[in-house]
Amino acid sequence: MVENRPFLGLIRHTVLIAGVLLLALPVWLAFVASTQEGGRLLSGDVTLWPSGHFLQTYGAVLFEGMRSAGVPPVGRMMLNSLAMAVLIAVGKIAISLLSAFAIVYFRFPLRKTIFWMIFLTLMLPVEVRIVPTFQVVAGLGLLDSTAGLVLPLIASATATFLFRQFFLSVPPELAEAARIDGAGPMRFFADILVPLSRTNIAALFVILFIYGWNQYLWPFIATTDEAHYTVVMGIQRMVAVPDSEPIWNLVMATAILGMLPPVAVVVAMQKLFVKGLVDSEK
Amino acid sequence: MATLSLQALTKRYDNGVPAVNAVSLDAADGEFIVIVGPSGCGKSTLLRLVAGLETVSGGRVVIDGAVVNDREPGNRDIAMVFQNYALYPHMTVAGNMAYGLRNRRVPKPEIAAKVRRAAEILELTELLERRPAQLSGGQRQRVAMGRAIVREPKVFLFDEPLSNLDAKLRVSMRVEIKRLQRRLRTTAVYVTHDQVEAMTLADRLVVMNRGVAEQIGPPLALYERPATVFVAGFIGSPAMNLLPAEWDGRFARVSPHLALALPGLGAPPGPLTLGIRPEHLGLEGGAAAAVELVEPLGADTLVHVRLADGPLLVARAAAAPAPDAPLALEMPLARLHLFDAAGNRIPWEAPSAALEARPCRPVA
Repeated sequence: MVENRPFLGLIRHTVLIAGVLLLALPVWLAFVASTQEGGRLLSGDVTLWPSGHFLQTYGAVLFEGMRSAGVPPVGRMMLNSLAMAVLIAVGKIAISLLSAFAIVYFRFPLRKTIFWMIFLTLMLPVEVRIVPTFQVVAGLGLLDSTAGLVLPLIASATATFLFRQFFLSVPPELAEAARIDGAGPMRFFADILVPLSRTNIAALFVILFIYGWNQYLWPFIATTDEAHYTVVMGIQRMVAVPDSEPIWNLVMATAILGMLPPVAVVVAMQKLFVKGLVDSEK
Repeated sequence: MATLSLQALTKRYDNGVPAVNAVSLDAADGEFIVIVGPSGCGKSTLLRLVAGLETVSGGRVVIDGAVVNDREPGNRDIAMVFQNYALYPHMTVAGNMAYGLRNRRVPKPEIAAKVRRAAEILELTELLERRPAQLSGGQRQRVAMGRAIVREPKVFLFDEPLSNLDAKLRVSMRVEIKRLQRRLRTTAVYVTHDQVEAMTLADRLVVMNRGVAEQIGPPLALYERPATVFVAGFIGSPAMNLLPAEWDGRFARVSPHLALALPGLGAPPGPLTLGIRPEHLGLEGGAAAAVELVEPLGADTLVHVRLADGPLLVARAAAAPAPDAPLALEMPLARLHLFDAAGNRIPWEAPSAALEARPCRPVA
């Protein structure tokens, strides 16, 4: 039961607002820091209000980068990150849809075994298999390329499992009706299953996009060429400068910029996201 | 416009138990065949074999002279209406109806014309742009029918299409289905567990039990001359009274106090089942009995009667007898159905002389 009493409402809001402040404060500090002059942050003299160097800092970061640390312009890195995140999300969804389709709708030898093998890969994230994965990707000559960034991350047991559960909940009569209507398997998949999975696809896209965008370890290992740096890597490079202090205002500006695309995706797709996780359209 | 022929059609699942066992049936062009039986009798499996949704283990399915055993459902020129309608939730009513035609690469203008015509027949014109979720149960049912008729298939298959509707709607949709089938003159196979639906819709009825077609024939023929005890008990509501009896060559003994003389019956002595429909039981003259329960239905009344220390029978009477009043139960011999121990009908005509002598009075 949802109770509605003014006093409880007050407490509820106090707790929620405190939570929001707690979560938002670091972001706000990062933003404030990004508008300060370079040296001022190191002096320990931190304010809570932005100062006037906003355009200067962001202009520098977006179009010039940080030459001293070997970091290309953030604009370039954002594009790299975007390409990687979108390709990972789209690839994961496409592959998972197809494998879930095969597992649910076709009878073939070792079907169960194959499903559990896919499921087992949940225990093998990149961090665990990074050495062999690196060797394979290097052997294929895919280091320092977008394909090399994306391919090792493109299979998803979680998404396969999610789609499998969804397909199992689709009434089997729909597949039979489609067969009688003269639709072959792929046509049924494209005309009926995929449109029905629309909200699930959207929810997964949000999750997987952010997953792809936040990738740190793999891009760090697989790229050495500045042209393929992602934003997350760029930040790392800016912080880990040898023999000098990091230029914090530029780092913070890059971090703020790097946060924007995932936020945009969440905001744009939040309705579909919630719908896809909560209800099924049947 | 096509005939449908099933030749010793058999479906055996992996465990070896036949779900459908050597069912043979010839449906004439435009005939309405209803398959009826209790749940688990194999009636839906039989329909799915015809549709091609199950693989055939033995026998043949012949549609319009061509064996279709190995054809995909889409290539059999059939249309099916499912119990839960199986409408595509993301397509409009028009989209649902057009989908089969689109897959067959029918030109667009032709699809539109066919969908419009089907919608007119089913009074769906106003709803063409709606989604299934925005329709009532009866409307969804009509869309499912529309999806079947736009295709102009050779055979319609119905899998319990009315069982998800409420009682009132079911009656009106039943009439609508019958009218539609008469109008389109398409051969149809209709599966149901509801024997009223079966009786009212069928040109010919197939009663199935444990994978076997117990009897095939026009509904009234099955009602009047059931071939087995199972058919006798299944067709008709309330069900036929079935009394186990012991036949000694002259009398069929139902209870220690009740025996019927069956003159002219040549069956060897042994156990026997006597059947009589509730509407054929008389409540005047005959064996002593007591009223146990009265169910007034309006037009008539169902009277549950117990014979003196004997079995319980149901009689259909015009008026309710006074409760607990002593009653005399009359069984007209001409209305009696006889079945042997294996459950098969024993052909027997009550001799007219016996009828005049009213030998149905119990012999103590």
